Amino acid sequence: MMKVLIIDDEKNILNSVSMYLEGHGYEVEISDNGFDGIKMAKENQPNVILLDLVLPDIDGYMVCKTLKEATNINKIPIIIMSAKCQKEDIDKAMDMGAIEYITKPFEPQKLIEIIKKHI
Amino acid sequence: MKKSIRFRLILFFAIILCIFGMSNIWAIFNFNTLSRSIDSIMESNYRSIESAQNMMVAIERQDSAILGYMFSENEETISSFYDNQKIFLNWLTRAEDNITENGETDVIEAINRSYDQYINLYANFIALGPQKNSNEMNDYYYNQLFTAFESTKESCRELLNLNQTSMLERKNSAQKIAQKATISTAIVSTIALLLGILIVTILSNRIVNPIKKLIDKIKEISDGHYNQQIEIEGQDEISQLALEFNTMAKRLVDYDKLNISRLLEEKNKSEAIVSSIGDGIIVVDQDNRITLVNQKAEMIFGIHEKDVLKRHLLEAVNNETLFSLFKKMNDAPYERQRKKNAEIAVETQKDLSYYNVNVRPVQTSENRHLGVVALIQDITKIKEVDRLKSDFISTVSHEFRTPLTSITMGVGLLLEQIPGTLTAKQKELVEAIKEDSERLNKLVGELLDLSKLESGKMQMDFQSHQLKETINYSMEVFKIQFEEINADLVSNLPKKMKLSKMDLNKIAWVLTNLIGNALRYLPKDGTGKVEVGAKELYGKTLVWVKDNGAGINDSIKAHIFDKFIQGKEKAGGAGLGLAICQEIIKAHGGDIWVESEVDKGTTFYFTVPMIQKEGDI
Repeated sequence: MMKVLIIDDEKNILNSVSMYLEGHGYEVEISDNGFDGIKMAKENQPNVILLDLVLPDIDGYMVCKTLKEATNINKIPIIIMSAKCQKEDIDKAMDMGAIEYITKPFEPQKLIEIIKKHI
Repeated sequence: MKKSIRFRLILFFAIILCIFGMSNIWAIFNFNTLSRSIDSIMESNYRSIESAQNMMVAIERQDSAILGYMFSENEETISSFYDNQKIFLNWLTRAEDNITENGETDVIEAINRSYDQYINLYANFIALGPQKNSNEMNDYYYNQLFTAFESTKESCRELLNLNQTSMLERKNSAQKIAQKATISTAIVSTIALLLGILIVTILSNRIVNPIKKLIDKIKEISDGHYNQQIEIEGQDEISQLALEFNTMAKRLVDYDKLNISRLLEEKNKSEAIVSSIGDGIIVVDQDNRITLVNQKAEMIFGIHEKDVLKRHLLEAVNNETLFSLFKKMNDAPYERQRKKNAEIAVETQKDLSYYNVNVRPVQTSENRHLGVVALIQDITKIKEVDRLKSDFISTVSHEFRTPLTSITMGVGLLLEQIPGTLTAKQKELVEAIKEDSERLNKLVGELLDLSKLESGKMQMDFQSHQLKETINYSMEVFKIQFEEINADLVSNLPKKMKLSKMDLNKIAWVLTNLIGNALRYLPKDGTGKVEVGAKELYGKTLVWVKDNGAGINDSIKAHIFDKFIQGKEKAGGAGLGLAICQEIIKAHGGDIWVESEVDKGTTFYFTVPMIQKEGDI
């Protein structure tokens, strides 16, 4: 079963997205902050990481960068999902090693499509 | 008596006339003297000479008569003797009447005596006759008569000589008089001439000098030096003129002072107005040298007018944007396309301020270009408000997006019935939630786009594109929707079109927005028609979207491109579409406008820049 790690500080998003993905047969782990997210990624080795940019402790860029620099998990595709839609935000995230960027809000089916594209 | 020029001229001519009159009198006097001396010659000597000569002729004829009588015994000769005796006595009487010389009386007495003796001897001689050729007669004649004859003749010659000598003397004396008269007349004439010249010189100087002075002063006045006074003494016409001139000059000075004070007053007023204007003003001449800086401008740029006057703008204010505005305006003041305003940022020690600079050429009424004037308006607050508004919209829309995400996800979950099966009623409700959340999402997206466009944060990706393809693509999107209401969607495009310089996605967005709007207001009875067209117009591409829908009434038309404006029917959308269209077209350097007639239809037009040559972006 495919494992998805969602790192987002919004409880409602964590709930709805995880519920939706579970409904489509994914195993979902969640973290509402950056540090825990990094830790969980290292421990659980998910197949894909969904990452928000605005987080309470370290921001999504830093999380992305850290994950990409860690040796055993740097191959995991990271999909950014953020309400930020400025070009510079997108460019910065891609520079940090993200594989895809979707702006909130998005259609649930589109999320599934993107995840499928990268696993 | 007034010493007028007229009087002086008359006096001058009178003096000249007097001098010449006197010299003439002198000449006449000389002629008279000469004539008198000639007369005296005539009177004194000429008659005596004439008498002496005639007496000599008469006595010689008498002598001849005697000789004739001696040799021819002709009685006629005796009568000749007496005739000539009469002539002789006659001339002798004249000579006696005209005794003028010393010794003349003695000579005449001698003539009288010797002639008396001659006559007496003649009587004796006649008494001897008439024995012809007698020796006695001969002897008497030669010894007595001839001697008396010779003596008388000699006395006559003496009278002649005496008078001739005297005449010569008188002639010499007359010559001397003539010489004297010539010299003295010449002297008098010369003196008169010199006097005349002297008087003319003095008089003309007296008349001309004051006029010269006057001319000099008038020249000074015409050069603008009004403070002129002439000191001319006397009471003639020139003095009067000078007096009037002085009065005039004084008045001019007063008038000038009055004018200057008026000008100063006006200048002060203008300066006060300029300096109290709340916006900054900088004026430069044609060489971009500063000619005016008002108080506000001094404050803005931290300069002082007195320090920067006549200096180059860049020396005074180190702001390239500002300088380039001035320079371009000065370089081409009559160019219509020239840039007239710009925003500049001025950083001071305290803060950063923003100004909108408007430049205009300074022209005289004869269209002569003098320089450039700039009005510098503080827009820091407007910018700040604008930024706050943008930030606000950005934040608000961002904050909307997060809850929208969970709503969308939740709705997706429910509709896919992952948490459990929905009843038909529940499904209908969730569908409504989905629809509205999509609208909300669209609104937030548009608001964000608009705020980005308005604040200039929206990045434009200008490339050369074939607009025809974009139009066809945009029309393709609506194919099904038009078929649904049985309406026509037609294109009116030229066969060949030049490339346009545009952001493909943004122009496609504009086109789909305009076509979508047209579709929304089309009649649903199958008569609806929308035409999308394009053509070249003045170096730009003109695009239009024309419908035969409900049309727009004038009150709405005026605000059609404002935010949150919709047509009369509520037809979905937030009313931001046209505002965004306008911002996108403006960012392209184009125009967008609308023509509409109620119940006939509406046409939206917009222009985008055309690329004249390949690779010319």
